[in-house]
Amino acid sequence: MANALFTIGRATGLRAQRLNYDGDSLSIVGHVLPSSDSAQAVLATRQQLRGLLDNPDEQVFPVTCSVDPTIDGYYRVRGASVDDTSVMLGSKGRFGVQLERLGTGYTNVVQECAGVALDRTNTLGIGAGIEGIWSIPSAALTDVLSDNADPVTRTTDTGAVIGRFFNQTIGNTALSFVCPPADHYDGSARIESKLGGSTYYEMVGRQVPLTPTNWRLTNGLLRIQNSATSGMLCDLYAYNGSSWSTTPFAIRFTARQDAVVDPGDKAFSNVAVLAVTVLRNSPEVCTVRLLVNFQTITGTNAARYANITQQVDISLRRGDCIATVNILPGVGWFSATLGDNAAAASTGLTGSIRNDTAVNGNRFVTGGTSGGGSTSLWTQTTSRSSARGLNFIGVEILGSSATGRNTAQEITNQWFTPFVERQRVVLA
Amino acid sequence: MIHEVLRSQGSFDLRLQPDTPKNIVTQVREFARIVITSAHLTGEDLGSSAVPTFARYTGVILEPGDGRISGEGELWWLGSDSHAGKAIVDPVVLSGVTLSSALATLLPAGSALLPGSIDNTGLSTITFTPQAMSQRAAVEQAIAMAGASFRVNPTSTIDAALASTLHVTTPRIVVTDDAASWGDVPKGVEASVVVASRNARQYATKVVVLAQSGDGERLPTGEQSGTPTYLNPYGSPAELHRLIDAPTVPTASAADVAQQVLDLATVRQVVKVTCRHSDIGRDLRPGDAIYIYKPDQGFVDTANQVSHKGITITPSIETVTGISWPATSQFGYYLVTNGGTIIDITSYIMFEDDSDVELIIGQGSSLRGDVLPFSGPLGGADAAALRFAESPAKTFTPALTGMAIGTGGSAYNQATYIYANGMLNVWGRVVFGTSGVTLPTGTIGVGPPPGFTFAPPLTAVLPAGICYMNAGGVNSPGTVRAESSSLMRILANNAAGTYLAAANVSSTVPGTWANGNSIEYSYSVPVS
Repeated sequence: MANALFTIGRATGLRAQRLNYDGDSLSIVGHVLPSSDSAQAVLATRQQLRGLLDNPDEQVFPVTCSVDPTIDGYYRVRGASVDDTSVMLGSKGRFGVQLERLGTGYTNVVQECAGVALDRTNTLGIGAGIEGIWSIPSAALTDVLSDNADPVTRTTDTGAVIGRFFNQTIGNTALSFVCPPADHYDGSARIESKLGGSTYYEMVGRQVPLTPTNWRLTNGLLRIQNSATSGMLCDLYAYNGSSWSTTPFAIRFTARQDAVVDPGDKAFSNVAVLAVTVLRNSPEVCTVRLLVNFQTITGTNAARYANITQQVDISLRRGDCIATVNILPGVGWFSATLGDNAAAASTGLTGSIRNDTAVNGNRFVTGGTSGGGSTSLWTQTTSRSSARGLNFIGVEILGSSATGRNTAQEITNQWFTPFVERQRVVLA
Repeated sequence: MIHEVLRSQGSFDLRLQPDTPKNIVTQVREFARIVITSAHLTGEDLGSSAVPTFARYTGVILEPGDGRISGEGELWWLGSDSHAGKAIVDPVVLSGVTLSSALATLLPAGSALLPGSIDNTGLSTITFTPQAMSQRAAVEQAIAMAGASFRVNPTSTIDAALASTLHVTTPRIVVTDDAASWGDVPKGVEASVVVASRNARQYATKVVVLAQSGDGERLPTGEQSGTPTYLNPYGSPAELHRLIDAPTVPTASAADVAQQVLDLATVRQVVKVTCRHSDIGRDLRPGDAIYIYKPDQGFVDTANQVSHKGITITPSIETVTGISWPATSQFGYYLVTNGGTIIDITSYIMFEDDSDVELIIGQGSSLRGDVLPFSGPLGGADAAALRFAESPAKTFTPALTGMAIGTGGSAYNQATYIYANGMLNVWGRVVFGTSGVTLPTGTIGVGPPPGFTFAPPLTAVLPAGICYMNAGGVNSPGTVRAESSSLMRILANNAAGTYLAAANVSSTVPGTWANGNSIEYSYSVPVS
C-alpha cells in the first residue's frame, strides 16, 4: 500500500509496510516518518506509541489511514512495539502495533463523558442556578441539548469545539456523543514536552518525561508552561482564534503565615519549580502536579522552611478558558496569593477579578472559592488546619470584545459549576 | 489475614513457616497472645507492657498447633458463643451512673480487659441491673444504653465514647479507581475491586423495644421511628416495624436502645473494597468514615466536594465496619506466652505480601445488630433472664384526696409498689407537716402509681388492704377500699357496736387530727 500514512492516537507519520487483517483484529508493521529528522521528533513518536499501552487514562484510540477509509475507526491496542532510537533516527525505525476494532457501526462508536455536575462550595455567594459547560469537538454529533443557553463555539489551535450548557441538576450522569476518529483530539487537553529540544510535542499516557524547564499543559485555548521569569509559578498564553499571544501572563504565587505564635509569622515568595508529574492525561482533562519550593522566606524560624516542598496541581479541561489551580497545605500557609505578576489594575467581579488593560488583546482573570483580590492578584485566607486553596487562572480571550459566554464573568461562572467527567468509549 | 470488625472480636489466622525451630513452635499455645506491631522492633526494650503500646493488633490464640496461629480478638475474653467471661449471676445494681463508673464496676481489677479512655461527654447515665448474663453482654449493654460506641485496644483496654468522638467522622482516605495518591489530603487509595450488593431484609421503619416489666406499665416499651421512604403495593407508606424482646432493659433506656437498633435497621449495603495499602491500620480503624468515589456504582454525593489530584470530586461518605488485612513482611510479630514472656517470631511467620486489604463498608449483610445482646446472657439462657427480670420495687408520690401534708416538720408522702402478673402491691406512708396542712375532715384516700389505674374485678367497690392511723395520739387500724379507678379510700373502724363496722374518717375520727399525725397503709389490687 504505497504512501499510506497512519495516525494511531496522537502518533502521526506512521507508514505501514504490512497490514494483517483478521476479523476485527488488525496488525500493522511499518516505519516511522517523524515530522522532522531531529532526535526529539523521533523520541516523541516513540513516546506516543509506547504510551498506547498500560494507559490508565485512554483505553481506546482513533486510527486513520490516508488511503484506505475502511481502516478508520476506534481501536483497542493489544500490543505496541518500537525499535531502538538510533535505528529510528535514520528514519528507518520500525514499529509494530496490534489493534482490535471496537463497535459494530464502523466509525460511529458511541463515547460518553460520565461525571458529576457540581456547584463549587464557596464563600462568595455564588450559588446554584448557574449553568456549567461541557465541550466536545464541533465535528462530533450529540443528542445533548444546551439548557437555557445557546452553545458557544470556541476555536482552538487543533480545531473548533462546541460548548453546551447544562443545569447543575443533571447531577451524576453521562453525556453521549459520536465523533469521527480524525477529530477525536480536536481541542483536546494535552500535555506536551520539548524532550530536550526546542519544539513541543504531544505526549501520551502518564509516563511522560517532564522537567521544571520543559513542560506544557494546553487545550488549544490556553497554554500553561514553565515560566520564562524567575520566581514565577508558570506562564499563561491564550489563543484568540488565529494566533497565540506572544506576551504571557507570568503567574505569581506567594503565601503567608500571619498572627501565629508558633512557628511565627512568615512570608513565602519567589517560587522555584522542582518537579513536574502527570496526574492525568486524557482528552477531556489533563492535570499536572508541580512540586515547588519558595526561595525567599522571611520571618520567624524561616530556616526551618527552607527545603519544604509545596504542592500545586494545575488542571485544564477541553474547551475551557480557565484552569483550576489547587494549592495543597504544604508549608502550612494561612493565606495564598495567586495572579498576574504585572499586578495591573483590575475590576472586581463575582468570584474573580479581571485585568482592565488587555495584553495581546486578551485580559487576565483569576479567582477562587473564597477570599478576594485587586490588581490582578487573588488572595485566599484559611485556617491552619484546613489550609487548601482552590483557585483558577484564565483568560478573557479578545478582552473587551469578548461576547456571550466568553466574557470574564461568564467564564468565572463556568469555573464555579464544573462537570467532573471521565470520557470513555461505550458499545454502540 | 487479620479480620477486625467494629464492636466485635474479629479473628486472625497466621501460619508459621515449615522450618520454624521447635522451641518456637512449642511456645505457640492456647491463650498465648499474638501482638503485631507496625514495624519490626529490633533492639527495643521488649518488656511485656512495652510491646502492646507499639502494637497495631493483639489477639488471643485459640487454635495453635500444626504451624497455625489462629484465634480471635481480645474481646473474646469477656464472652463468646461458648463462655460468659466472668459471668454476672447475682445482680449488680447500677443506678444513674456514668459509663465510666459503670465500666469500672463491671470490669474491676483482675478482669481480662480493663477500661481505658472513657469519655462520658454527651452520653446518657445508666440505670441497669445486670444479672445472669455474661460479662461481655453486661459491658456491651451498658455501653449501648449510654449511647456510646467502643473499641478494644491492643493494650487490652476498652475505650468508649460517643461514636462521633471515638471514630473518625471526617474521612482521611478517599477510595477511587484511579492510581493511589498518598501526597493528597485526604490520601487517595486505589481500589481494585468494589463489589456492592444491597440487602433490604433488615429494613425497619420503626423499632419497638419491649422493656423490663414492672416499670410502671403493663408492657413498657420504648420506640423510635424513621421516615418511611418506600411504598407498599397500594401506594401507602410501607410500615415495617421491628419488635425487640428485651426483658433486661429498663424502661428509661428503652428509647435509646430502640434508636440504636433503628440505626442498624437500614437497607444493608455490603460493599467489599479490595485495595492495596501497606499498613491500613495506620490510616483507618473499624468505625471510621472514608470517602468512596465511584459514580458508576452510585458512590457519589455532591454535598462532599473534595480536591483530589487536582480536580474536585464528589465522593460519598461511608462507614467502615470491617477491615481484613494481610500479614506482610513489614510488620513485627511477637508471641506473648500465657506467663507474659515476649518472643519475637517475625522471622518465622509466613508472610502474605501479595494479598490485598479488604474493607467492609456500611452495615454489612449480617451485622451484630441482628444479635444485639438485649435478651440476656449469651448462650441462649433467655428464660433465666425473664425470671430475674421481674419488677423491682419502685417508689412514687401518690396523689392525696381530702388531705394535704403541707410542709415543715416531718411532712412525708411516699409509697412503694411492686407490679407483677397484673397485680399491684403498694405500701405507703403519709405524715402531716406543720404549715399548709389540710387535715382529714371527710373522705380521704390515695391515688395509684403513674401509669396504672385500679381495676378491681367486679363493679362493686372492693376491699383492698389495711391501714394504721395515728390521729391525735390514737393509734387505730382501719381498712383500705378500692372505690374508683383512681381512688383507694382510707376508712376507720367503729368499735361502738357488738361487731366492728367501717366508719368514715372525719376531723375527729378516729381521733382529733393534728399536725405531725400519720397514716400508714398497704393494699393489693388488680390494675390496668
